[in-house]
Amino acid sequence: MTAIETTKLTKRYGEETALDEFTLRVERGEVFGFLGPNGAGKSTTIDIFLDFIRPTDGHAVVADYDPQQTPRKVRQNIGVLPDEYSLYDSLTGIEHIELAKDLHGSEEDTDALLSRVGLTDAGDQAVESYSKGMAQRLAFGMALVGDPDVLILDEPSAGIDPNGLQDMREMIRAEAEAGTTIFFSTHILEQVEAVCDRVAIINDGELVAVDTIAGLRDVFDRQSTLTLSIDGTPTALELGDLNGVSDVEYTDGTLTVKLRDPQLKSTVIAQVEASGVSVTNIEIEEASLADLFSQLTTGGDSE
Amino acid sequence: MSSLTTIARKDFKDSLRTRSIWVIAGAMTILCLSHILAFLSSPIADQHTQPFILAVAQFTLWLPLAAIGIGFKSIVGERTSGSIRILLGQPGTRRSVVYGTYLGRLLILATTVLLALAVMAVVVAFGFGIIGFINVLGGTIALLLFAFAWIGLTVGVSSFVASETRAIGLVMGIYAVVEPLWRNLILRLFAVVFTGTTQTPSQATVFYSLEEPTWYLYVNRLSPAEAFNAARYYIPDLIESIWYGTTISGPHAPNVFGVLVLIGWATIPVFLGYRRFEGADLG
Repeated sequence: MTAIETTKLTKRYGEETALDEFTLRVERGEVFGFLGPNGAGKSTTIDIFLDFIRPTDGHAVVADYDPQQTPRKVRQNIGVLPDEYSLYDSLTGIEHIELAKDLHGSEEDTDALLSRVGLTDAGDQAVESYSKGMAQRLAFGMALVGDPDVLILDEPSAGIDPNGLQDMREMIRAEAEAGTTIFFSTHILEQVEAVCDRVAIINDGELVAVDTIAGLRDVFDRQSTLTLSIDGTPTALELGDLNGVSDVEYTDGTLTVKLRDPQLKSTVIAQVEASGVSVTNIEIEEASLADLFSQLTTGGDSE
Repeated sequence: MSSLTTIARKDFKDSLRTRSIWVIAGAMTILCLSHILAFLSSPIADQHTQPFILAVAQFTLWLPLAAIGIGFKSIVGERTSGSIRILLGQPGTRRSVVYGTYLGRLLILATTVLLALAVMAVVVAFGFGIIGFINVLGGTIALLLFAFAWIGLTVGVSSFVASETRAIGLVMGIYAVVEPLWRNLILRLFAVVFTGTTQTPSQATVFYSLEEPTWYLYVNRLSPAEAFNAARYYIPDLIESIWYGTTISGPHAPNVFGVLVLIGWATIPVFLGYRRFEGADLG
């Protein structure tokens, strides 16, 4: 099965290009993060997956089908938590789930679905009375109807509080563990760091990078900084010779090692201890994806 | 259950619980009722031999406005609120969204119209002392056709445009052309085309006389209001002629044309709206 594949996907609005020859492949079972600043083309891409909009050029395959050719087959095989949606105020949670079930031709247990998204007690209330977080859970519950092969989540954390965010993350993890491919877009980096196998970064309608988080760190050559408090003066220490160490500095009981390869941390600590001084404290400052992200999206210094 | 009927059911259920729809239905009932009560208190009240048809006629002005109120947001409102993103995230097609919503709104309008008509029927039966089974049947069919014409037009417009402002503007523009402006402006323009003058036959002879020129019998019925005004006499007449084997008092052809016009208003705009909606970017 092809989870998601796009081939030179392009969307133009008059002179403006929202998406430019965007080519991407998401493997089955992956938790795939789709990261980019607002207006980068994330929603355009997802809207094409759902056939809300049609590409100017190129094509997409989602859950084995082309959404522009057979939108209904795609919708049958996927679950969607869209961006900027609204629910039907007068209908209850149960009625929303039943709507999704009827459209899927599914016989699932409504109560079980509601309990999976933590809405057991609110199922018979009209959605009018729901908080934003509850509405988001319900929409997520509707996305789970029909046991989708691929879950597409567009900014799933938008407008929900930190507790809701944590719950949402756990629900996403549970689906991933069940083998569902998850494609989710966000402009918030911590979310991808927390749950994604791989990440694509999109900016200005173009694919900037696709890799694992660690891979992105390698590619963009960011540094981790290891600050060790030590007893004694390190002599006969040749840390600078290690491939992947970019800088070593010693002042006053503090040894600062800058690493290009974050995997080297334990090696460095081992060597320091082997040289006869004891390490009393370790501080690690990782390159955060936030730095990477701002570097990428502002055209950064790495180019 | 198909996605079309699922969406129709969802739309009907949602509409049933929407307060504004019941306010509109209540206003329509009161306005239509006020006319029939005014007739009842007039000195010539006992001269009406078909009071139920008179009651049905009171909807000519108000039913279109109720249909517009109930239907203008039906599709475009789903687009602007974003609920369509939930609906089309589920299996279903744009076709089932448009036609399912059309069916849902048609049923809700029919429900409100039948409730209003039931109230009118009680007033007619007590006030005039006669009601007439064939008039009730035929008049109700004509009224429902008129309701379908207006909800079809309104849902069609709602599918066609991308903003609620444009939807209400366009559908009210059409209302103006086929209702208040029809006799004094549009028909006169047609008269110029067919006769070279701006003279049109008087309204009193719409149905019973065969003296009107042929062009007029047809062109006048292009307006759903005029087609309805003819149909509310023609359909009971037709039923009576079939039931008792009597002859019908008016001409068949222009009146059949009028019924087809109502069916046309009920179906063609919603088809055109669907075609436009099918090709639109909903992002």
